[in-house]
Amino acid sequence: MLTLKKEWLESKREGRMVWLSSIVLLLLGCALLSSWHSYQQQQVQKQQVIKSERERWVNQGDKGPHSAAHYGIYIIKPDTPLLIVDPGLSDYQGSVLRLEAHKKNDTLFRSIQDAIQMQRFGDLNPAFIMQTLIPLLIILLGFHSISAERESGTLKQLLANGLNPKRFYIAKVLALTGSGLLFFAPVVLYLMYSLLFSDSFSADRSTLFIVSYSAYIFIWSILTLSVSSYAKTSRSALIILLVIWALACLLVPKFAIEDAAQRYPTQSSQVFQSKLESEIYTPARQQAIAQFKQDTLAEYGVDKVDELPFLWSGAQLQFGENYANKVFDRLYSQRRKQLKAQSFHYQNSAIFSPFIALQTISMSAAATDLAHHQLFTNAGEKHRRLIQNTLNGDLKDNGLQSSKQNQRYQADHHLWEKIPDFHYQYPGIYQLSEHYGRAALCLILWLAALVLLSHFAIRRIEREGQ
Amino acid sequence: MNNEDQTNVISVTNLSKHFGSYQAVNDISFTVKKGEILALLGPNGAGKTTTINCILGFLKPNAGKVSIAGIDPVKHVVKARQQLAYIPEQVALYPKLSGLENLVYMSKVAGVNKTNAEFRQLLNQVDLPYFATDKAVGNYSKGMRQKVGIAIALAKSAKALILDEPTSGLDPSASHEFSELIQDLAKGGVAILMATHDLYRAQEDAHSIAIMNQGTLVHSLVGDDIKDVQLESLYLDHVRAVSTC
Amino acid sequence: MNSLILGCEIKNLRRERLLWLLVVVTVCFSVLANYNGYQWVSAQNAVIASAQQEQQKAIVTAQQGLTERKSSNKPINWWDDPYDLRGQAFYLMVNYATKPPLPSAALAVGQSDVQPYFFRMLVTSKQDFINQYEFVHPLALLIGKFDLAFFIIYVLPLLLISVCFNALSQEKQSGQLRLLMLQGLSPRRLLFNQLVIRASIIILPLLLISVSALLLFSEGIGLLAISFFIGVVLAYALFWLALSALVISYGKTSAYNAAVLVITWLSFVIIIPTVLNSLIVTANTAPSRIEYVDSLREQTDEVDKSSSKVMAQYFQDHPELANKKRADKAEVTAGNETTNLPSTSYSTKKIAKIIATEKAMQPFDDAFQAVLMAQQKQAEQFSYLSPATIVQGALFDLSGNGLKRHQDFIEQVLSHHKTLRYYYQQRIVSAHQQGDFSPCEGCNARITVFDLAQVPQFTYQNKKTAMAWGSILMLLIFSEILMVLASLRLSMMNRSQTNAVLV
Repeated sequence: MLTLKKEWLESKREGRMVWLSSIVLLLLGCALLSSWHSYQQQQVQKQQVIKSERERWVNQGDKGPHSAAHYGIYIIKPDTPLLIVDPGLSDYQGSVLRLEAHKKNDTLFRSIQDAIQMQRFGDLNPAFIMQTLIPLLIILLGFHSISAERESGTLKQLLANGLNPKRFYIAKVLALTGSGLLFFAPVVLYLMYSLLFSDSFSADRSTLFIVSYSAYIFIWSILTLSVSSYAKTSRSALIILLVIWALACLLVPKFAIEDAAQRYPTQSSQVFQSKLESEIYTPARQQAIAQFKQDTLAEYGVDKVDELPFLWSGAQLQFGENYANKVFDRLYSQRRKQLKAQSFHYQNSAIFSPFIALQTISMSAAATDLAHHQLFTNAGEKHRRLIQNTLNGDLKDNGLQSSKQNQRYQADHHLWEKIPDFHYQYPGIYQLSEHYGRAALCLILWLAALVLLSHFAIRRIEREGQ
Repeated sequence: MNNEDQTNVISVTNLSKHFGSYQAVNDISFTVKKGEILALLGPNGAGKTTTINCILGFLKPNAGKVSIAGIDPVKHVVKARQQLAYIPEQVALYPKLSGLENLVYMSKVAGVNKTNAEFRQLLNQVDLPYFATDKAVGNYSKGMRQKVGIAIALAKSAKALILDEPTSGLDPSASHEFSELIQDLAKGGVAILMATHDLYRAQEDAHSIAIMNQGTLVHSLVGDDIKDVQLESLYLDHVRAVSTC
Repeated sequence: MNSLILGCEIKNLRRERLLWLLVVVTVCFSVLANYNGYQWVSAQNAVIASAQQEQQKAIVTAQQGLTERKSSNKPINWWDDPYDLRGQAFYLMVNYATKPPLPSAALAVGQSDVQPYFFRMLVTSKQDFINQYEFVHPLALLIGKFDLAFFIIYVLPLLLISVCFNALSQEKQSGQLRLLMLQGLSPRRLLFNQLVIRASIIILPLLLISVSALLLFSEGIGLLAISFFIGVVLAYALFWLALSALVISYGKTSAYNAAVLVITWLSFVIIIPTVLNSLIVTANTAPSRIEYVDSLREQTDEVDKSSSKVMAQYFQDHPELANKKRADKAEVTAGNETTNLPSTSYSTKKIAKIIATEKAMQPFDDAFQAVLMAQQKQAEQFSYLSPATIVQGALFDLSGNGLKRHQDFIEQVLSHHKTLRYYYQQRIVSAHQQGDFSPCEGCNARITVFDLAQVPQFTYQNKKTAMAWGSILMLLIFSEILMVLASLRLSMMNRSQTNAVLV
């Protein structure tokens, strides 16, 4: 308790640290406020556009089902309120997906493409501040905590006066962690407020978020104090900690993702799109359609498509869709496999950097990682196939009469309304543990390793008094 | 420069220095002639270091005058420093350079142009063990570092030498060696001001003694008076007397 | 005197193990950064080559298959037919617009990983293709590459701070400075010599490796570009050295210097640029892309509904495409003009609608462009608040991977898009009027594309951009100011002090 009080007094009197801490808190507050405002605006816009899209779809008028299939719809990626705290990969993934016939699209409108080059320095969002700046603040607050006492001789004096090294160390850890958590407080307050007043808030995601950030702050506190215990001088403690911070937060993530991309490369879009086309629109496809035609005619015991009890073009269109879907499934899943391998490889690197571990868990909790994005695009693709199935099926079943009258079959809003509105909700975060499990494990390992290191740091302090 | 200046190498006249309301040095005066050793005694906080800093030109006196070989260290700091050498309690040398390398560098910076052989000779002159000359100073004892400090002073042909607690931490043998060195320097005409707690060494080596306490010069001894007096009792009397006033 | 001080400093540094470690780190990182830069350039070149190969292959394949197609009577849909103008225009055309990396591209990845550097062109509305992008793991985009620009902007100052933070302060703490000053050495001279030599052990390997890489691997790189690069690095390093000198001149401990310099690094390299970016983006909020989608759908629907009006406007804008001899019976009023509408094919209508949609969306596109330009303008104005943003701008422009060159590329792509569209639209109209698309009942369309090599091809015209020497000048001015302030404080150290001993 005494040590805690002394630490608090000393921190208060360190003028420049008070300044820096105030600035970081202010930045965090502004970032939260700005994010929150932006999020509110965006949600209103999204709801509006979703409503308009649905109205457009239902009121598109009388037309052939295949025309409607080409008219298509745009769906919008849902967000969780934690996006306010960690926008993650949102700017780099696009939030609009076009669902249309014959094509599986990638999401559109990545905001990074509308950004100026200064944006490459990063966005001032709460996650960035907490993941990158707060560890630095903890280092600057705590690097001299034990080493300065050693340098000035007060450590020896305290030990000679009967100080318990373990309690001494733990008090310092608590004091430093407390300071770090102070910066986390605005975010926790926001999460609590949202939990109480927002419908879309998820308690499990918030819990994961709070626990992992708290663990992260604790990790940096123990790391800072352990280094301070071992370092001969405050100067060397500071240098070592800054090197660790730069490696963990700046360099290792870059090396890790670069390594992941080298080991599990994805094809360029140019090659991928060419491959898609060249594997779909092939003589084999023509042959397959021809074979399907033969099989269908044989099944119904007729010689010509005009004799079939349904409109052949509907069946052919659906066959074409199914053919293309198989190619999409194969090629996109190959790409997804590589991306998943890259994600896992990156996560494994969390063993070298607690920043990677926290970043992964944080983005997962906020639903702003690649995994959640892919869940959305998969759901979108499922919906696209449902649309094509429904429209082609309707053409097949109801188009024959018009065809016999040499008229083009036109469907109306009854058909459009049959297609359900696209609503997607992310699963609970604990169901998606596969996507952040490694990172969580690494964070736990970091905690365990540092607690062990603390044990040796305490012994080091004990030896000081001998 | 008049005759008096020529003999008075270090001259402190009515020197006063305060820091805010704290009077560190109050109207002290003393001189150190050519070839003279003056020991400046006094407890911690007496004002010895402040006095030395004024002589070295690191502090500007509030009143009074300081002169080094007739040069005012406040107005002509570079010129004044060319006339003197300084050996602090911990002789600060580059730990990764050898004694010779430190001597060569420090001397050449002061504009002394000698050959390496001449510098070696200087180290020999101060009795630095031969094997240590090319070893890193980080491994030197305090006595050895001090010898390098004296060699630097010799190389510079300084007229005045300021010593701050020179015998603190030296064993009796090293202390004796040091004593012989400064005696030789004094015989060579160097004026030596030695701030010290070592009453024995002061009595043995100094030609004059000044006792300071709480910023003032409380007693001075010159020549034979030094040998005749019970220095320890005298010192304690003066130091206690002022404290009880 | 300087050579003496430098000599002593070199001797000291040679015997410091930590410094050797820093040199090794500098060398390794320089090599890695250069390697990553060249890898990226290589990857881009490979993609561009692949695209051009595919384009060439399409041309050759078409040439080789022409005879067979001429003699073939097998039914073929026009949208599957590479010898049909319409098929080529709307579905099959392999025509790429690519932006080759500059010789200096390896210096900075810039925005080239997030902005597209190739487009597959089709006769479709620009909204359909302009938002394409190269698909990579988005985490790689968020984190960014360890390229030379990153190393210079972020890591170089830290390395310089690591070698310089205890210059002079170490001597002061140990008492050596007093001795040296008494020997006649001024703190200013000592510090500046120390900084020069310590910085050299970091900067020289960096420059040596980078310039060698440029000379060896960047074909066509000019001496001016190399000089500019060296200038930027030296000016940036000088800024940090000057800042270090100023902090050190306060005469505090090495630990204090390190803490202050790190906080300053944090402010200049991380906090100010991110805050600046956030402020600029907030002050110039881009329109919403979500609302853009809504508008796009609305406008497209509107164009579809008013088909006749669209056609009338189309022929008003392109009278050369209207064949009055085969004028349709109906007259339609478009605006105040009454036009006799020629008989139009599906394709011509499609193109007319594409043009109309683009025209309708132009104000929305302009709004985005206006905001982007306003943001960029402010970014350039305020970039002088941080040396990091100055250097970023300079290196991105030098590498050709910044916003300017990308904007220029987009302009050329859109121009090419218009050229292609016009190429096809006039030929389609002509072919339709000649009855080539339906020569007879149940027949295949006639061959209307004989040689794909005739289709306009895109060649990126590199605009010569002026080097941003102003950036170097600003850095030098800031450095000069800091050095003057540092000099003044250091001169004070050499004088007698009134209030406290500084040394």
